[in-house]
Amino acid sequence: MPRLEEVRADLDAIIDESVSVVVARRNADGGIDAAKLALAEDAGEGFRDLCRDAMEDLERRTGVAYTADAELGRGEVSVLDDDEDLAELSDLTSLAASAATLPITPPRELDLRIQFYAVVLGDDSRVLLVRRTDPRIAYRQGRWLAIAGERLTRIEEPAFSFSPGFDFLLGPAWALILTQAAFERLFREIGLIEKHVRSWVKGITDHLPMEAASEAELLSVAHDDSRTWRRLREIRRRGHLAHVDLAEVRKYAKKVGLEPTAIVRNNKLVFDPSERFSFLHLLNEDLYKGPLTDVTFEAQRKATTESS
Amino acid sequence: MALLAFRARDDTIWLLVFAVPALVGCVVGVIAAILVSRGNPEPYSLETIDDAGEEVIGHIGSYLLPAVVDVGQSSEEALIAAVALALIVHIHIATGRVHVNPLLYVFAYRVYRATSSTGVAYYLVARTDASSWVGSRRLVPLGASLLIERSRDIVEQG
Repeated sequence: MPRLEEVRADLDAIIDESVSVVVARRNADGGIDAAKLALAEDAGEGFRDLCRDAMEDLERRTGVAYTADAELGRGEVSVLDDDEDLAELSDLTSLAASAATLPITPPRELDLRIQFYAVVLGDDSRVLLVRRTDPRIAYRQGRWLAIAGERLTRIEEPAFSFSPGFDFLLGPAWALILTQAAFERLFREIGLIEKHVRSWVKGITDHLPMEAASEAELLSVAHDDSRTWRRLREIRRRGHLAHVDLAEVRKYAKKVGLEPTAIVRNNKLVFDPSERFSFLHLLNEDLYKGPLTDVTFEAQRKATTESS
Repeated sequence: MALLAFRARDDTIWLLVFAVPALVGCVVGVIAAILVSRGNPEPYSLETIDDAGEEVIGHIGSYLLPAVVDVGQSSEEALIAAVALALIVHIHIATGRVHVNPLLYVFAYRVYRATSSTGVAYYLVARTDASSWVGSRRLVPLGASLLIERSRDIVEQG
């Protein structure tokens, strides 16, 4: 994992280089429609200042791994540098290279269809600082006569706006998640979950047979629930199920106090959405019995002891 | 236009016919210069860069016009000059050669046709020799298809 200091050094090296601003949304084909904003130099400086603020904020944060159980706290940042993680974000990172040559969108077309915007920093090696758009109810000064002019008037339509701060940063060899909820919502909204969820489920079904209805349920639940897709993603990354059979799954379920027939039936895995965490924890080896108390625990974080 | 306006200086109507577009052209030029000086430069990686200098020849007709037609002589001459100029302007706009303005060469700029690494075609107006560029270059976009290299970005990039 690159240390946060290295990421900060990367950002420091490019903070005074070129700035582009890209706005984007998901299109009907599931791809990303992006356009750039033509900026005056002072507007570019304004966005550069937002990037400087984000860099200062990074100095106060500590890096943690983005695991299946990750719940980012204040003052924490998740660092991703795994090739597979970065490949899943390639639809976004490709915007960095093409930012300058994207078609220009006029400011009047900045509306609520836009799902995120990104400030793109750098001349050669470009970094994206991404923010999920946050529609706001805006107010303006009243326009009618002198008295009404003193009143606050509501603008009926929610308005597009740029805000301080970013939800995640994407560099050429790393990604930083600053706001986990916004990152995961955007991940789903722009179709990245839909694009990858089948391959994550295959991390199970390639090795252990699953009922078709259960597989469909699992896909559906994973699409909407970030804890489910994160765990599926981890199971696929680990690849440990390649060396496991259903008898071992049954045996493990019994050992940690789960009903084996709720997990394996007719020599196929069965997924019950109401018991999704038991199912996924089991397949990810997250359940164990305390050797002293015989109580079943759920591991929040795993680290092998062999290499240390 | 300005030269034709100068030649038509004794006839107020024809003076206005030629001077107003000339003035509009100057104002547009000044506005473009201000927009470029206050614009935000972005890095462009250009895959192909071709000199568009030969397209300047297309402008020569418009520059010869004031030399061969004396619009001060008669209204007929002035009308012919006005129609010829209108045709030249229309053809340059219709064929997309409006950016290849010979006056840019007076200010030591050259005009190129360039294609970005993402396949987007641009007219490029640059002071340095664009054929020697390596990697990305900071340029100011002016509209969707025109890129300008500014002097101060040349200094910063070396």
